[in-house]
Amino acid sequence: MTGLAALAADAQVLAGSGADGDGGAGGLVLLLLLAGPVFYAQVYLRYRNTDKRHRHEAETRSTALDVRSTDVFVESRKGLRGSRMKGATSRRVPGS
Amino acid sequence: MGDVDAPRPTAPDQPGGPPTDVPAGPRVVRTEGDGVDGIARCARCGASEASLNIATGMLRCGFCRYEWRTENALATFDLDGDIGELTGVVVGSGTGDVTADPSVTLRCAACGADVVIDAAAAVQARCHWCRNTLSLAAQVPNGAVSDMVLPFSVPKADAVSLVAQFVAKRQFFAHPRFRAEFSPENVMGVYLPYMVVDVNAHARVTGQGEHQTRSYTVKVDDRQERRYDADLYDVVREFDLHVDDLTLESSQERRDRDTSRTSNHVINTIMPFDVENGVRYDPNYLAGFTSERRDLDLDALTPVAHEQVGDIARYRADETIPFYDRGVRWDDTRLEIRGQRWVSAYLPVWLYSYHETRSSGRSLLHYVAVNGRTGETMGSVPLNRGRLWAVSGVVQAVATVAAVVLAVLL
Repeated sequence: MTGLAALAADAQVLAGSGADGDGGAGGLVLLLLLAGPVFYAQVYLRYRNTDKRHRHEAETRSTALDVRSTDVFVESRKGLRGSRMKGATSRRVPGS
Repeated sequence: MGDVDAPRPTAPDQPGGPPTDVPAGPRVVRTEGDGVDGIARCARCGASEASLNIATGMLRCGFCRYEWRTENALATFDLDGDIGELTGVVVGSGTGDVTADPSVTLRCAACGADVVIDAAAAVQARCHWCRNTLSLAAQVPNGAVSDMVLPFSVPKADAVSLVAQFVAKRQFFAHPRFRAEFSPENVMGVYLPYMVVDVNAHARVTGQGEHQTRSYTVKVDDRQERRYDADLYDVVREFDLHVDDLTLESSQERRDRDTSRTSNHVINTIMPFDVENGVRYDPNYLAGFTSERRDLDLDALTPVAHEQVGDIARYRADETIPFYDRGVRWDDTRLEIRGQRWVSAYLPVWLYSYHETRSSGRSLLHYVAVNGRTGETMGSVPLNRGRLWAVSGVVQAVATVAAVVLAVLL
């Protein structure tokens, strides 16, 4: 039931974009047009909790020692449309 | 992900204390002590009935009320040492491969009758002739006797209250039959099988990250659109990683997370447990509760553990990348597992279950689960789908009208 969770998350993103002026009205209209499915998804997740899991990556005690960092500049990118890096996987958990 | 294979435990070779080196396989730490199947007697009066007193966390004789507790398991067996010093594979003898039939026949020491215990659901049975309680304490390879047990500390009354509160907040769209039949006092205490793993690893996580340098708007046709400039970097994070008490379900049935046919995600969500307080296995802790035996071996669980250690490595690496405000794409996670330590455990869960049969004939078992140590509660409540569809339709209709009005006004 990850689709429902994604739908609910998208709705929160749309609601967020609706609040910051630029293109906000368009986002709000889109949110209203999706209100039925979003409502269904929110209630479904509240009752069935299919999006819940043990967050082993954060809730398991762990220690990182002797951290070595390497950061090498590759290039500058201009005129990107998205506010987040395309394909970013930080905070994604494949083993869940 | 570079892994170290975890060979199967062979024969126990070390009665507690520091393990000895066995070059060809894992170091096995014997945890069963002098555990012998049969009658476990009270040290003071010799009665065969004892059970957990949840208020004190101690075992209490059913006749003379004498109370005692078994030792902390990890400390007793030296399974809680410095993770940084951990090398190779160390396992408790209760993690051996499951090869034997779950049914065990015991001869009653009091009257000589043969009594069968089905270890799939219990580790104790009453002799049908002399009424003595017989227990499984020897680690025969059927997954029924673990290295340690974490006793319940949340009383049943509290669990009933937590389940009732959880469901009370989910009434309007709950299935009417569920609401009619809901009786939280039917919650059951269950000891579920887990593996607890410590891992000493070296992690190397590589990828690319973007740092925003500029944000501005451009005119596209008649509209203003936002654009971003960013610098791209190759990112490498390398560190030693110590993972303490990673906890994995060790029952095949509980590892099934398909939410269309099970509610096992609910039981998964109530972790973690304070496994460091687990005590040496004594079947009397399980008296009055049900238990599920372990049916997964180290071979099956090792890849799962290493994948989760990889998740932890990336999570730790994520904490070092605040500079990359547009995110990082991790491409590769390499783990060098230097040492790992496995202990089998029974952990306490209060479980309320409800079997939903739909009109299509499909059925689904819903759970509301309460962590028997922390009281953390999670559940799955069957839905009245007709009502939910109808209300969603009304919401959609009203929102569509609002959207049209908004579009006209703009």
